[in-house]
Amino acid sequence: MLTESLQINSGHSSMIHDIKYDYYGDKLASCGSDGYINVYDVSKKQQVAQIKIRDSPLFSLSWSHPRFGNVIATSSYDGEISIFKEQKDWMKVASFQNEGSVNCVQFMPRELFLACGTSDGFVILLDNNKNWDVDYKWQAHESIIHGLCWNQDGSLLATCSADKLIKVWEFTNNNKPQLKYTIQSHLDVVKDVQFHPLENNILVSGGDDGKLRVHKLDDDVVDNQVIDFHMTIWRISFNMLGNLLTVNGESNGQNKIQTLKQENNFQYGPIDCN
Amino acid sequence: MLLKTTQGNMSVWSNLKSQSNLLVTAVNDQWGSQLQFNSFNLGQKNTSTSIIGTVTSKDAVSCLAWENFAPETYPMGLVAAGTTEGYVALYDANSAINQEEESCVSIIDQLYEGPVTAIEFNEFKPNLIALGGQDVLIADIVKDIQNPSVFGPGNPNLHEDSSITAVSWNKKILHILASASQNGLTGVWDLRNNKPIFSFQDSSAVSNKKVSLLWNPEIPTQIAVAYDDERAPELQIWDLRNPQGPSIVFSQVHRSGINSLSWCPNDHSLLLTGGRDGQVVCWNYKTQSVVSQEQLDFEIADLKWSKRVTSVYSISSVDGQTSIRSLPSGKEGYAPKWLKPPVGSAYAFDQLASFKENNSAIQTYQIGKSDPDNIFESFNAFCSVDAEQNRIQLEMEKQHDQQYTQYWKLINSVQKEDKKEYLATLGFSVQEITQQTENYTGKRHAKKDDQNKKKNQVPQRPAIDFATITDQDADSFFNDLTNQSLNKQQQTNTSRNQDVEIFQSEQVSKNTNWNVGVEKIIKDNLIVGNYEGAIDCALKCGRSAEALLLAYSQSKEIFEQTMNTFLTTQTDYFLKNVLKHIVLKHPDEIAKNYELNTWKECAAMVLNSDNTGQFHKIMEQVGDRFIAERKDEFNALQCYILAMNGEKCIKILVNHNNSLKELTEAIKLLIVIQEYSLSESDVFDRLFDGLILKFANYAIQHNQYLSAAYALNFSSPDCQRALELLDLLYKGNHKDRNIIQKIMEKPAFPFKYEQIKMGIVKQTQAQPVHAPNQPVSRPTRPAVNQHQHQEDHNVRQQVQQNPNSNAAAMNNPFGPNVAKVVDDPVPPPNRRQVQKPAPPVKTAPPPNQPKKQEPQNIQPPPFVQEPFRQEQQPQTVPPTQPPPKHHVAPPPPPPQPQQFQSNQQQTLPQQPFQQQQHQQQIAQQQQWQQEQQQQNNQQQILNQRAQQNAVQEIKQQTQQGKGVPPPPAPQRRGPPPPPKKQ
Repeated sequence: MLTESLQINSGHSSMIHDIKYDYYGDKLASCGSDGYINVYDVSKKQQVAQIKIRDSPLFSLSWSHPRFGNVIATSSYDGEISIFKEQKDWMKVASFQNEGSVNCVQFMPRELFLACGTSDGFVILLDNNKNWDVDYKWQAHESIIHGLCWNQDGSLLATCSADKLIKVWEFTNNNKPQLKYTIQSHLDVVKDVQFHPLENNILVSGGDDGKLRVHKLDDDVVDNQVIDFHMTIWRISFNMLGNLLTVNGESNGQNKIQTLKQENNFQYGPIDCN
Repeated sequence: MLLKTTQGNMSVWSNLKSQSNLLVTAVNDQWGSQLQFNSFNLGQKNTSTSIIGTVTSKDAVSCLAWENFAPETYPMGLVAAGTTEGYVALYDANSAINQEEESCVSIIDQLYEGPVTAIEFNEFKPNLIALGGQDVLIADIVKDIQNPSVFGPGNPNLHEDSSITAVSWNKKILHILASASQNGLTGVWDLRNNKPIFSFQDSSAVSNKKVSLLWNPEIPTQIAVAYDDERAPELQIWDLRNPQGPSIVFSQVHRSGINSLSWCPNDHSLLLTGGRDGQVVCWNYKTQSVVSQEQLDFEIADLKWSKRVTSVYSISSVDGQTSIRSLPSGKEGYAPKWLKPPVGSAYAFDQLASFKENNSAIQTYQIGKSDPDNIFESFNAFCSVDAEQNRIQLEMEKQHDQQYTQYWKLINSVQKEDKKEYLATLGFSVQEITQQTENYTGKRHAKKDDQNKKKNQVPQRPAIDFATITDQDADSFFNDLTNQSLNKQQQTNTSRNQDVEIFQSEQVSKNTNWNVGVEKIIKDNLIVGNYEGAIDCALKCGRSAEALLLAYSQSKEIFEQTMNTFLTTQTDYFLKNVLKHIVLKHPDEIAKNYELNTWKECAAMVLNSDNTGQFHKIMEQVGDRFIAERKDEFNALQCYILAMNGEKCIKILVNHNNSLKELTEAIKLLIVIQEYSLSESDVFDRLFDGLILKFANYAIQHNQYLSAAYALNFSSPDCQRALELLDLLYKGNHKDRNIIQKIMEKPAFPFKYEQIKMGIVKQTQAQPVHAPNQPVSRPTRPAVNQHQHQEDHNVRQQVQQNPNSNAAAMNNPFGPNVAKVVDDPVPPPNRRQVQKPAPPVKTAPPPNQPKKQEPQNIQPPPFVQEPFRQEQQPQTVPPTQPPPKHHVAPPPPPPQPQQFQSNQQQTLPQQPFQQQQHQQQIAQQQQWQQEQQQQNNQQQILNQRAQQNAVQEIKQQTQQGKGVPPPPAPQRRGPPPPPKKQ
């Protein structure tokens, strides 16, 4: 089902930490420890931009919805959240300096509303409509926030942390985000959390305990499925409609990428390889 | 960063996954020592840990270790405490925490005369405990924890005449042990062979200094040593492969002796050292740099990374205070491993990209498309056919399950609007029946059929009430009845067949002698002029024809009354429930009463009665009966198809989409059904959109983007999700993009464009982020939508109207009031919700109508004028132009009800059932009725033509509108044209 296709020279001088396609899949952006964001044109197979952001590792990046043009947000180990827009060149539109490392950023789907998770357990929300001023900032976790994810309609934000917890925050009409679920199923650091791109109540997570967990959010949170990968799960990515799921992990210094396909009732199983 | 404080001269962390926030500290005082089990919660505000268990030792503790061991017996592992009195006590952590009386499980004594200075469990075999004191010892508790075997590492003793300060098990090779002694010597032991295999000595060796020692957890040949040496407070890393000297030396940071060392278990690049100078230094040995350096106000005695809580470590001071701290994060330079994803991936359509730590290239993967049972391929073929008729033909020729074949046949007949087709589909062959009739009656009926065909060109009259029956009409009817009874008597020379059964059940008197019996009474009545009596008698004795003849000769009222009596007194089911209603022209009564098993007869009969105008209504009623009485969706759906009722069809089909195949068949049917559906229905749209989205999702999941785009084209224009997906498929980078762009019109961008604002750069030096005079151009937009022009216009207007606020914004970009002034007139959009474009209206404006919009390329105020913020764009301006409806090609407009009716009346009067005897009468009736009313009808035809012309005009207008892009005329929906090229 998966066949290797072209390799893109990343142009990074050290580790890459995140890659994201834009909305239409034409451009791929990457960020890494060298403090650069590189943008590649996927069809032309060439790098089209190289943006120096910081002298510090960049852990995460997020494309905005195309109704705002090409906008990228990123965050760095030294605590800067910055937002860039492609005009003739990429131009910094706004930035915010946090005291500690900011590990993950994601735009709310369709909005210029950025959620960021920090190493000291805070979630920071930056809002274009407030000229990128902080909309809310609150202590969401006891420890490092490693990952966060909006659901598809922007009503829920899931965060996961080194405190082994996943929390789901609900947003209702400009009110302060309310804690809706606390999920305590992981035995160790939770590194990433992702909503199913179509289903508001399906949430997958993974972390240092090596387990991929598919949660069903209802009145209670039900563990829909648990798969043991015997590796530190770092990143989970869904495809466009959530029928494929790729788990990225590390075990004894070896990086592993495994892809699963959705079966019945949001269970995921191995794909047929050929 | 200080997190928590507690007491303790030294500490050790839990290695339990589930209890990683546990720390044991040893608090020494003059009376001995107390082991405290500290638990902490980083999120809580209090700064001290909570003590969840204590163990008292009568002697001061000099070293500590904690390891998981025999979890079934010791679920929280064993804490080993070496004492100043030369013995080791082993405690069950679980019973210590539960405050059970005896938590000490073993005392290993008679080890040393002096204190135990170093202790470490082997991680692979935690039954092996390495000990340091006067010399190196290993205690093995595997057989008997009370009486462990204790042995030395081998001979010769490298540390003769010196005492041990550190022991460390190799982290990769379980039988390798290292030890360090006060004389500065470090030795490595091979316990399998029980001998020293390596040693090195610090050249500036002085006695009585503490040497800390740890194996590199990653590279098993490397060992780190740190010296409590005021003159050379160094951290050295030795590699056994290079024994001449240390590979790496860190010096010049600590100002006094280093007396503790910890290798970070979660990032093996990092080492932590604590010194008598009160400094805590985090080193990255790989980059040979200092990651962080913290000056504390006390002398450090002990320091340990948490085993499982990343970035957290504990520090104990020489005066017995312990604190829990975290590595200061976010300083420039090295980011610890636990924050840096080494691997990741991203999806776009049929592509997956991924990166790995050891590869600077991003690998992309192509995801193949899948097409179970060629469902998508055949769907594409279906959609690529341009005309409805061809689509139907395509489906009819295909191998289907029987039910689908039947549906398509029915649709075909509906589409052709040909009664013969209807009848054939319903299972009646006109030819066959004609033949049978001719055989029976010996009379040719085909000619009649021809006549009817000619009459098909004439629009049929609406149903007329029986009360208006003319004499001629009744005469014809009566004649037929007579003929029928005559024919029956002449039937001797014709072969009997099953159709004749009806005749057999009639009660016709055989008595032809009018001078006896009832016949005489009838005759007598006639003679005396008592016609009503004669009629009653005739009816009663079964001489229905005579009764009706008589009644006809009298008056309309009497005839009607007689007929009613005749029909209601019939006990024959068919006569009572079918024939009666045909004669009385109450076809809906047929629908209510007809035996459902033979509903097709009913359908055919209604079709042939002159009430075809009600045909759809009646079929709908029959369908409803199937649902209500039998839950028979198969037959109900057939009725609804004939009824041309899209809403009822979809309500059934919507329940049959469990498999992709079923869903696809349903969508194909509905694509055609919606074209013929007589009424527009929001319910239909809503349900159909749901099915289309479901199908599109399936298609996209199988990477069949073309199929998804084809299907989405049939969605209603107010289905936002469909518009979004169509836009995504049209512009998205996937393998079907070229063909989709070739065969489809570019859909309008289904979102509202919005301008990003300039933010305030917080807490950093203000730096210009772009050249101030650089004009800001908008990104090229794939589709310019008029909505946006309107907004631009409004932005400009607003700027002009509010010059003051604009100036204020320039002067004081931080002022919150400014933002208010500008934002207030327009409520900010609820950012939680999608900004939906205004619902498109149905018709485009005439192309030559001057647009109200300003020229298209108005730029928003460039950033130059407003370095810090942009005007908020007005959100509430009602768009005068809707976003154009996505569309493939100008489809035929939806059937106009009026137009449809006129078509019907032109084509439906073909009546192939006339040959059957009972209907003959009615047919003839219809004929003369038609002739009679032809004159009236002409006026009607004129009216209809006028209506048709009007429709034509609208059509032309719409098409003209379509010809002028942008925007394409908003159309309801329709089939895409065939690919231009294949």
